Parts: sequence; C-alpha cells; structure tokens
Amino acid sequence: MLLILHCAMDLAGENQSKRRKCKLEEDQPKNWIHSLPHEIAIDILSRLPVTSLIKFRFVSRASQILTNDPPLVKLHLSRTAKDNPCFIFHSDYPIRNKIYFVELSDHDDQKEIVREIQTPFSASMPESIVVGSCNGLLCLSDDLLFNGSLYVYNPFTRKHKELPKSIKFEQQEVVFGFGFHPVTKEYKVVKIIYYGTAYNADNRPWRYSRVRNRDFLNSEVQILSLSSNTWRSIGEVPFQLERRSSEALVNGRLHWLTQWGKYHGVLGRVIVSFDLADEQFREVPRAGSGFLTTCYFYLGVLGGCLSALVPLSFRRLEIWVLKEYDMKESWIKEYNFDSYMPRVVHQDLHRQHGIWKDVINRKIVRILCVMKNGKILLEYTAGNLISYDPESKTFENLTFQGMPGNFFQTVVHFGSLNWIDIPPES
Amino acid sequence: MATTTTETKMLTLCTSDKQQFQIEETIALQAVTIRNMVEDECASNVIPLPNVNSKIMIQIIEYLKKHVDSSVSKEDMEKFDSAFVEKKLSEIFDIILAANYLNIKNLLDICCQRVADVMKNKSPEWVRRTFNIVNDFTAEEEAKIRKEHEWAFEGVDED
Repeated sequence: MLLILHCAMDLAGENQSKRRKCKLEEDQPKNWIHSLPHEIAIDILSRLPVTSLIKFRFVSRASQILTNDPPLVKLHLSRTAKDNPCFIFHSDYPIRNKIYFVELSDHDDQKEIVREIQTPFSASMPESIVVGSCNGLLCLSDDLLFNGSLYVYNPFTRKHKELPKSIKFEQQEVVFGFGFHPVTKEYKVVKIIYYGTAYNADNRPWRYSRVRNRDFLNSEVQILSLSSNTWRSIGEVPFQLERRSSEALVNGRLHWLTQWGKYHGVLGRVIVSFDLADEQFREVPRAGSGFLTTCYFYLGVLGGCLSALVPLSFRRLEIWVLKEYDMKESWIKEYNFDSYMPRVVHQDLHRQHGIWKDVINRKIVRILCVMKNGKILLEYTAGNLISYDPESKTFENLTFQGMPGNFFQTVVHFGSLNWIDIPPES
Repeated sequence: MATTTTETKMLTLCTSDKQQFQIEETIALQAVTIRNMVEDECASNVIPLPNVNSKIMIQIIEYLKKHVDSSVSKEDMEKFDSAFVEKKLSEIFDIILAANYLNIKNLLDICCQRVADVMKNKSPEWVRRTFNIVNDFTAEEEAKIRKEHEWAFEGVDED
C-alpha cells in the first residue's frame, strides 16, 4: 500500500505532471490506475460490479493490494453492491454443494451467464444450505444432516471462516438467522433449536421411523457473535417458528414467521423479530386489514422495508409492505397481482428433498428483490424465476444461460469484497 | 483587464503553459478551488492554475459553461455529460487529475464513472494492456488464480 501511495504522490507531483504533459501526445497512458491519487483510484474501482473488481485483482500484485483496501471495500459495498444484486443458485446435483451465481442487470436482454463458484471448503462440508446472505457474506450450514458445521464465506474472494460447533440434541429442529447490526457493527448467527419430546408411532429407532410425530416443545436460543466466536445461550424462544431460516433482515432485526396457531385469541400467524443488538424477540405489529390471518404468507425485503407476500390462490397474490418499521398503520398493500400468472417451467411441485424439502421447498412463492428499474423478482416453487413489471403489470419468465438444471435454493446476494473484519459504514 | 459591456464580472485563469483564459466569474466559481481562492482574496486579477494545461482547460471550460446554464433540462444535461466523456482514456485521466485539483465534483464523478464503464467485464489482460500494468504474478500464482476463479476468465468482453 505504501508503495502505491508513494507512487501516486510522486507522479502527481508538479515536476512529474509537467513532464507528462509535454509527453502526453506521443505516450501511451502509463500505469494510469496506479498513478492516480489513491482516493481517485478507489473511487473508480468502487463503481465496478463485483465480477469486474475481482478480475481487476488478477491484473498485478499492486491491483490485488489496492482491492484489499478497506475504504474501497466499504465504498464498493455502499455504492455499487446494493444496486447490483446477484442470484446465488445452490444446486443439489450431484450433491448439495454446487454454488452458481449470476450477476443481474437492469437490461432486459437476459444475456447474463450463470457461472459456477468453486467452494474452497467443500471437502469438509459436502452438503449444505445457505442460511443467509448479508453484506456480501454467505452463512452456510450442514446442521440438518451432519454435525453442525457452519461457515461464513465470501464466494467472490473465497475468504471463509469455519465457526465453532454448538450444542446438539439427539432430536432437534433448527431455525437459523444470520445478520449484521448497523449500530453495534457485529455479525451474529442465531441458532434456535427446538428439541424434546419427539416419539415414534411405530416404535422404531427415531432416525428410521417412517411415522414421525414431532413435538419439539422445548427450545434453546444460541447466539454466536463473529467477533467473540463462542456460542452463548440466551434461553428459550417463546414462539414456535416455521422451520426456515430468517428471510428478512431489516433495521438490524431478523424476522421469522410463526407456525399456524392461536395468537391473541385469533387463529393465524405472527411475525417475530429478533434484534441483533439487544437480543430480544418481539412481535411485529399486525396489519389492520389482518392479512396475518391468511393461511400462509412469506416474508421478504422490498426497498429496505419488511414485506409479506400473500398468495390468495395460485393466480392471485398480494404484497404488503411495512413502510415505517414499528408503525402498524404503515402496512400497505403495495402490489396486487390478479391477472396473468406465468407458465411454471419446473412442474415438479412435489419434488422430494427429504429433510431439505421442509426447510426450503414448502414455499410456493417468495420475494427475491426489487431491481433499480422497479421490476420485482419472484420465485415460484424452487427454480421458477419471474420478473414482474408493476408499470405494465406484466410477468416474464427469467432464464439465464448456463442455469443449473437442478437447484433447490435461490439466494439474493450483494456481491462484494467484504469480510467480517471490515464493518460497513452505517 | 477589459470588461464586457455588461456588468458581468470576469476572471482570468492562467494555465501551466502560460495561456490565459478570460471567463465569467459565475462559470469559474463552480470550481471550488477557484472559489476558495477568490473568497480568500488571495487571487489577484489572474488566477494561476499550474496543474492544468490549456488543452485540458478548454475542455473544462466547455463543461463549466454548460453546467452553469440553469435553463438546460436534466435530460439534456445527462446527454451532454455522456457525450462529453466520449474521449480517449488518456484525456479522461488528465481531466480527472484537473477536476480533482480544481475540485469540480460532478466532472470528477462522470469521468470516474466513464473509466469504470470502460473497465467493466474486461479481462485482466485487457486491463494490463490498456493501463500499461505489468503482470508481476509468477506462472504458478497465475495458474492458481485461474484454477480458483475459473468463472472470472470466462466470457469476458471482446477487447
């Protein structure tokens, strides 16, 4: 780094620049990027999509050093990454560790190509699910099948960190959350373990029982802050959550949906938040119109706001958005899809994923993200990506060249060079 | 300094190659460095700009003249900006250095964006060639990089 700064100052010096002006006409530009003042080089590079930034890393050693500069990583994350989402496709063929990505653009040409990413720790974690994506970092877990391995991983820089293992119960179901709090500037993994009085109806050993009666009434919440790297227990969770990883991180709070049940005397579901700073579970205030009493809905984030996607029938959907967090009056029905539904390409609605099916594929439809051009990207069942244009009220199937044939998880990921020791600006 | 028939106040800018440019003060003051010099009254009639040559100054004045005009619509201004940055990269780099010295934020912005747009999805080889950067990785290091980031070397834009 010193070398670059020295070089920049040297060349920006008056004598040098005068000399350059005289020679400008006949000379090719001389190592321009590295001769610019450091903050300008950073300014330029921070405007590149993550894939181009990675390519720049391989130009020279000085380029590599420049791209590791924390001010560049922060500026890139706040300026470019948030407008340029990627999709991470997690493929289950031949085993569940193939990770692909595609960088999305606002252009409608769909020329983007899906590419495979080599995961450096795939030997020690042969199968996994993505628990969450936050500030360019993925959290991967194999908790449901194996012995509780967890990794934090930047798929673009390949930096990764294996997290310590936490307690494990003989019979358990786990709900994860992964996120960052903008005030405490800490990344935390939340692991909600339901365990207990499960029994088998046919008296066979639990693992082989065909009839499972799940009755996981006990719970334990484990927290791991990436800065301390040890698990702590914070006691029980007073809710039976749907067994899915948190789908929405808003205002430093993770959000889950509860299972169907009676809440405040009414049958329905409740949205539960977990504040990554004060580590409290809270109920998100209900909407006045009561969509929370519909049988099923899905959480997501649209334009930085907590949102709920409510399928009324296979052809009718509503998207509700909580415009002002903590103000239940601000739940607004933002979109109402009742016209055309796109053709579902993958018809295998009942695709078997064993234990994974419960975790991921119970969803019929989910919100992925909203693009800069206003289009909303949705996923119908696993693998049908759809773009909805609220202006023209039209749907379009999204396909990308090189899309894996079998993928069971689509994750919206804001590709960055970020790592856990570089807290982003708030 | 002769003044025009109107009340318009003029400033004279002197570039590194001793060329003098007489421009309206309102145009020149968009450059924060010039504004500070005028406000601090450390500038006499002639403002010396030893870090900018006349060739670049002409282009910067063209930019400032357009941007001082409040009657230009946002759309037209964007059109002007995108046409303005259609220059050789070496020229863009010189404008970047001048805009940085003169502290003209918008101009610096559109020029940095222009360089970034040109670099998008280009191979490391293209970047080395264009910016004259020497590849100082060893063959083994390069092979390792290629193996670990295969995707980064596929499907780059044609040079």
